[in-house]
Order: sequence, then C-alpha cells, then structure tokens
Amino acid sequence: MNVRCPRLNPPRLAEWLLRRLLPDDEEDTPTGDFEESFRLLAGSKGGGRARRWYWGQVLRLAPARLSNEIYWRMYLLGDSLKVGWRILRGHKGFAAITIFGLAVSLTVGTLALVIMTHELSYDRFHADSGRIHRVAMTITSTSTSMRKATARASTPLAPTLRTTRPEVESSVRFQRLQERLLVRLDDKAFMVDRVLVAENEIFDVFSIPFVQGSPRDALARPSTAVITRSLAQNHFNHEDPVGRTLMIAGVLPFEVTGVVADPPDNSHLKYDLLLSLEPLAQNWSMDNWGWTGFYAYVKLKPGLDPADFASRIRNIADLYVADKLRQWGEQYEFFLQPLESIHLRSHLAQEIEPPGNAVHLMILCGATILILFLAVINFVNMIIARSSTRAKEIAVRKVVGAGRSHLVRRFLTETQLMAFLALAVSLVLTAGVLPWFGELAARRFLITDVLQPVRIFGLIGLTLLVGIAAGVYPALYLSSFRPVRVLKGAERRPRGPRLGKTLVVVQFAVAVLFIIGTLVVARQIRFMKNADLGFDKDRKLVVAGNFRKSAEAVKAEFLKNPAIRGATVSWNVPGRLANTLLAKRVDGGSTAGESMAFYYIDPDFIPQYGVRIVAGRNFQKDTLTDSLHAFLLNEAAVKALGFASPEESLGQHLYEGGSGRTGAIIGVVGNFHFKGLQNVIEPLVLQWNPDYFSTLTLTLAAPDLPKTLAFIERKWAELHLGEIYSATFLDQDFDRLYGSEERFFRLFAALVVLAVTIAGLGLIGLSSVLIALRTKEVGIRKTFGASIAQVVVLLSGDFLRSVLWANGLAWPVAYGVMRAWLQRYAFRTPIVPADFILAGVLTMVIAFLAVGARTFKAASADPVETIRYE
Amino acid sequence: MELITRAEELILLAVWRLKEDAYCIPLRAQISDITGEKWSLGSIYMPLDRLVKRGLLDSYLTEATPERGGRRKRIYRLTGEGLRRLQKMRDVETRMWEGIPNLSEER
Repeated sequence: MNVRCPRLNPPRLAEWLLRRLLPDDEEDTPTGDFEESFRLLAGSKGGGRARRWYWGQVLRLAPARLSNEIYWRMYLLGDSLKVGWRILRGHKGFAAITIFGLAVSLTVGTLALVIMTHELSYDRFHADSGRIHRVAMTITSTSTSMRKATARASTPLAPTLRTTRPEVESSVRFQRLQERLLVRLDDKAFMVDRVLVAENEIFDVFSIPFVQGSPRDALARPSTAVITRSLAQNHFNHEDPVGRTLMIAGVLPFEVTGVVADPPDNSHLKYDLLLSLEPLAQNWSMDNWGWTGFYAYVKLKPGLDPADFASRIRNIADLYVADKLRQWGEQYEFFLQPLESIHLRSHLAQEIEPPGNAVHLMILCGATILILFLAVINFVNMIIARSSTRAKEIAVRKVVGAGRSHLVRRFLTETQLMAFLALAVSLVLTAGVLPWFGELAARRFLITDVLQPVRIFGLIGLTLLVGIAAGVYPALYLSSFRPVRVLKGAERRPRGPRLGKTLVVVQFAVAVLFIIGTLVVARQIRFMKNADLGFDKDRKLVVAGNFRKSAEAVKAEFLKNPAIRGATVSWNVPGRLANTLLAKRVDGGSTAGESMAFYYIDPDFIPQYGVRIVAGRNFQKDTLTDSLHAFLLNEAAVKALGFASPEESLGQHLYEGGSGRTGAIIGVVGNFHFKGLQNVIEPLVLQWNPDYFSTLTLTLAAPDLPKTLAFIERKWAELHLGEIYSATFLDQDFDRLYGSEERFFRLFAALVVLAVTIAGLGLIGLSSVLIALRTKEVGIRKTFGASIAQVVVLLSGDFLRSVLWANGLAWPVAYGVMRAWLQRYAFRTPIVPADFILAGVLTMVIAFLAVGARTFKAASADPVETIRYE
Repeated sequence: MELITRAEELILLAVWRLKEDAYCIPLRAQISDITGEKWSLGSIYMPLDRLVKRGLLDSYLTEATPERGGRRKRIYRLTGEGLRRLQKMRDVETRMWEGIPNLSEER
C-alpha cells in the first residue's frame, strides 16, 4: 500500500465493484492492472482525472457483466421452475397434500404473526414511547412485611415529580372511573364505558391526536371534557360537539372542549371520555399520599437512564410523609414500568385494562412453530419417499455436468416454488378464516391488517424459511446419489422409510401434545364453571339502577310477582368490581391495617346468595346500628386482621378508611369466590351501606322467563329506577370472567384440528408411498397363504407402532407443560390420566383411518397382478 | 484454424518484445504507442484470454508490488505454438504482399 500518499488510491467503492465485475482470477491480477493504470494516470494527469477514468471503467464494465450473469441465472431459474412445475403436475396427489398442508400451516403462521406483531406493538405509537414510564408502587407493612404492588401510585406523586424533579419532562395523574358513567346530553342520556379523570398534562405525556380543540388547554379549566371521535359521531349526529354541555352523573355540567381520535387497539390506555379533575376532585383528598387512587405516568427528558431516575424516586414518599408512614406502619416504594412493556409484562393490582397474556402468547408462538414444523416434515417425507423416482433424473443431470451445488440450488428452487404456491393458497385461506379468527381473539381483523408492509415482509420471510427448511435435507440427500450406481440399476435402498417413520413419530407426538393440552384446558374451564363458588349464582338477574332511597319498597314491589323468589340490593355483585378500602382494628391488634375489598349489601344479600355464616349473625333489618356501624368479615379477612378464629373477632371494632366510620364485627361468613377462580380469595368486608345501592339482584323461578323479564323491565321503568335499563344473568356474567380461558381453549382446539389434519395428511402420503414399495412383498405373502387381515395388520402395524411411540414421547412433555399452565390458577383441576389415554386412542384411530384404506387395498390386491409389478 | 486476428497478432508480437515485462499495462502502452490509437484494458484482456485458452500464450505470476495495491502481476510469454503461429502469420503476409508496389505511389 502506498502509505505516504494515501490519496493516490483508487476509489474504494469502485475498486470493490470492480473486483466483483472482473472475471475470476484467484490472484486478482486484473484489479492490480487497473490499480497500476490508475496510478500511472494519476501521475501524469492528476488524481481527479484518474479517479474519473477508474469509475468510467467500472461503469462500462458493469452492464455487460451483469446482464450476462442475470441472463444465465434467470435461465437456470426458469428451467428449475419449469421442471418443478412438471413434477408437481406429474404427481398431483403428492403436490396437493404437501402444498395444502403447508398452506394450512402458513395460515396459522400468518395469524400468529398478526397477533404477535399486534401484541408487541402495544403503546409504541406514542411519540417518545421509550421515554414514557408508569410509576407504580409497592406497599410494605412494616409489622407483617406483607407486600403488595399496585399499578396506581400515591395521588400527589405525579405533580410532585413534575415540580421537584428536573429529570421529568412532563408527568400526569389520572383516574379511570370504575363504573360506567351516565351522561346526559340535552334530553338524551347514554352510558359511557371508559372514563378518565385526568390532568391536562395527559396530552403532554401521551400522543393523543386532536380532531378539534387543542392539546394545550383542553382540560386546563374546571368542568371541561374531551370526547373521542366515535363518541361524537354516535351521540352528536353531525352537530359540532365543541361548546356543548354534558351532564355527568345527572348533576355536574362539563363543557366539551375537544374531540380526539379514538385510542388505537394496541393501546393499554383506552377511553371514550376524558374529564377535567375539577370539580370532581374537590371531594377527593388529592394531597393524601396514603390514597393510591391515581395512575402516574412520567415522560423523562431524553438521554436519561430510567434506572438511575427510579433509584432517586424510590423512597420519595419519605420526604413528604415519613411521620405518617411510620404511624401507618407502612413503607412506600415507587418503581418505573416502561410504557411499552406494561401490556405484556405488568400484572399488578388495579391494571387499567386486563393485561396481555405473555404465557398464552408464548404458547401460541411455540404452537405455530410446531405446526409449521409438522408441515415441513410432510414435505421432507414426501420428497424423500419419492426419491427413487427421481434418482434417474439426478443421475443424468450429474452425468451431463451438474455439480452438487447446482442440484442443491435446483431442489431448493423447487421447494421454494411449492412454498410460494402454498403462500398464495394460504392467503385465500386466511381471508376465509379471518372473521372466525377475530372472534377467537376477541378483536376484529381485516385482511388489510394482514397486508401491512411489516407483516408482508414477515410472511415472505417465513415462507422462504419454510421453503429452505423443507428443501435443505432433501436437496442434500438427493444430490448425493452416485450416478454410476443409479444408472447401472444397482437400486439404492432409500433411507426414506426409517427417517420417514421417525418424522411421523414427531408429528404425532405434537398432535398428542395439542390434544392433551386442549383436554386439560377444557377440564380447567369446566372446573371453574362448575366449582362450588361458595355462593349461589343460578337464576339471578342483576339489574342496575338507583336504589339508595327506597331499597325496601322497591324490593317489595318486585316480590309481588310470584315468579320472583327473592330480591336484594347491593353496590355490586360477585364477579364484578369491589371497592378497596383500608380496614383496621380499632384495638390495633397485631397489624396496622390492610387494604381490603368492601361489599355494600343489605340484610337480604347473605340468604339470597346462599353465603354461609360461620360465626355470629347476619345484619338484621330492625337493628338500626347494623346499618353502617357493623361489619361482616369473610374468613380471609379474619386471618388478615390477625384474629385467631372467627369467634374471637366477634364484637371487636373495625375502622374503615373510606368514610372513617368504626363499627363492631357482628359476624363472619365463609369464604366465597367473589373474583372468580383464577384468584385466591382475598379478605372481604361486608357493610350494610345504602348510600351505594346501585344493583338489584332478583332470584327468578323457572317458569315463563320472558314474561318475568318483561315484567321486571316494566316495573323498573314504572318506579323510575334509572335512565337506562340494563340487566344480565349473573351466571352468564360470571362465565365471562373465563373469557380468556375460553378463547385460549378455542384456539387450542383449532390448533388440534390443524395438527391432526396435517399429521394425518402426512401419514396418508407416506403410507401410500411406502406401501407401494412393498407391493411385491404383499403379493408373495399372499401366495404363501397370508390372509387379508394378516396383511392389513402387518402393514398398518408399523404405523401404529410409530403412533404409540409418539404417545410415549408426548405424554411427559404434555404433563410438564400443562402443569406449568395450571400453576397460574389459584384453584385448579388435577391432571387426570383419562385425558392422556383419550389422546392416545384418538391418535391411534386417526392413524388407522389414514393408513387403513390404503393397506386394505394393498392387502386385497390380486397377487398375480402385484408380483408382476415393479 | 491456423490464422489469427490482427489484434492477436499485435499482442503476440508485443508479448515477445516485452519479454519479462509482458503484462497488461506495458502491453497496452506499447500497442497504443505503435498503432497510435487508444486501446482499452478490456481490448487487451479479451485477446489475451483467448490466446491463453488456445495455447499460444501461457502466464505466470510475479511478486506483489505496492503500486498495484499489493497484487501480483500476471506475466505472459509465448509458447512454442505461439511462436510458430507468429512465424506463419509473417510468412503468409510476406507472400500476400509480394509483388505489390508501394500503394501510395500507385495513385
């Protein structure tokens, strides 16, 4: 290298190009020639001229070389495709089975890709989403060291961070109302599901596009509201919503100041209506660090290390309320959750929406890979099994000069051709199953969701990968044939059968795994639906309304109808939300108090719901102090408050943090599953508190349900119990808690069908080839006196043995996987052997159906014909 | 075919004249010099390749030099067959030109 004058080197890029363009010469002498000429020219005419010349040479060289290269590549490709196509046409059955199998599995791949990209794209659409974090907290009781983590933080946290921490670019606190909100517009009324009460800073932290209004001050003034576009469209019929007044909860006027775009599907923060803090916050203790009522989100300044910031604010509460924390016996620690990870990773108490299930996602991903793998196995099997028919072709190609790499490339081209044909088929399939799939995933999918650039690239990549995975072994295997032996007719015994059987074992093992998985999931769902919840959920109609003033009179009105057996009013019912408040023993006890679920009920609730009373008594209607100033606990609460037994708790006094009332514990009820069976039974306090009565539960008698329902609705309107009638059956309501499991089950069931189909197809194909190879053997056996039955047993026995092996392999794996899955449930079904045996029998039957017809045909063929064959 | 093209002939001659230095650059320089026309590197490579394939030339590699970016030279030399072919070309040409007077005087 000319070190002294580096400028005299030819342009790097041009040199690199030149080396690729010049004909092969292992010593690279032509490049050297060019470089030397370049130096000469540079010496005589200057560097610029020389560089121009060098580039000129390269550019003049390029077209000829490239077109030459491309021409031959295309020629070979075209030829490979032509031959590939002929082979497909020549073996239509074989081609159909492999391509269809591949198309089905690619469809699964496509759908999985759609779900995965969707789930992984959560909350990434916000500008600077990487800098946005949620501040969540853990509360540790210093006496019991019980810890609990909540997604909501101390209410004053967000403004404190905003004003005192220089690292914070912006921060916001907001609350999501737990109930649907009744909104009145002029003389119309409607319910709004998702309501946020937020500071105006919400528009600084999150990217919320405005259709009308401005993010700068939309919620800055008291009594202002921002609505989403769909809310505007649904309720304002083309009128301009800005400036109009919404009556919230019947009494509070809010002025609409802006319209924003609907939150996208992949946002964990969904809303229909945003309200300003004031005047709602007037009655809330917004400066109370002990109230974890608001979510806090921060956007950090660019370039900051979140971990560093997190360590600085971990104990920030001690700066403000150290005394009180000591008094409460609690320790607060704050931590950051990156916005993008909340949906899949965060499973805290009080999440804004049910988080995504990373386990289900991983299982889906794994299952998809397995399904693709099944199809690839079919592919490999079929090509290998048919290799004898192609041996001659390969031999001839080798004789006329094809190198091994040429053959490998040729076979890969063929498999790619099939893979892309399968992709085309799978796109049609995908379009067909999308609506059904949307139901499965509880989300609407359009074909345009699939045809996004990212996903298309992913899909093509996947197809290429599958094509290569399927083609590489056959290509290496086929191209290893020795032409001399093949052409001489020294038949090479294909390695096919043994490998094929191994692969069949793998396929059926996967199928068994899926079947067992489905059966276990189904068992768990059935278990949850039928389990004794500790209360009676049958024939209960739950009606929303306002029963604060006249609960007893309303109940009496409804009970006049003999078809209504019982009635009770409460704030909410099992399966739905409970209020969470601090509960503390007045005598102090051994604990400092505990956040507990609160139910506000009337005296009829316990008998109507069939909840057991373990100790003490129920609320009594004629005992005035029982209302508000008396409590019932469940057994879990007794334990949490540090009482040794239910009896010991009776007569003790309890303080509740909501209204600050104290009262005596008059009774203890048995634990009942008020949150569904996924969760352990948490401590629960029951209070007779008419202030919150907004739900009426009617127990119906069986006969003539429609008439009773009509009566209830009429009566409800007659009594002016609310604006909008809504009634649901509790058991259906409760079943909905298991929606995620149901969907998972349906998904699994679908995968089972696919896995079994693909494995079955593979077995049909493979068995037909392998049995064809044994035609002569069968003929000879029959001439020696074998019966049809014996031959059938002989031929199918091989395959059935493979299936047995598959079961042996899959059972332990299935046991491990399903045990891990069940761990997430506080109350779970045992894993029973029946599921395993059923899966085994099922796969045997399927395998027998797949090979049965074929073996029977082979076995019943006339030996005279078959021996002459080959 | 025994005959070679004029370009090939020129290159064979140049190779013979340059001896130890008969690689692309000087070959091109010399041919350009004598003919008074610009020859591109490509127009040297093509006949060189052809001649090597037909066995009229063979080549060997020298040590690497810095002005070639550390790459070696491929030096060409005539084979016996190459020399024979040149001789034949010369015979053919002499015989063809025999008896033809000076063309410029003909006018």
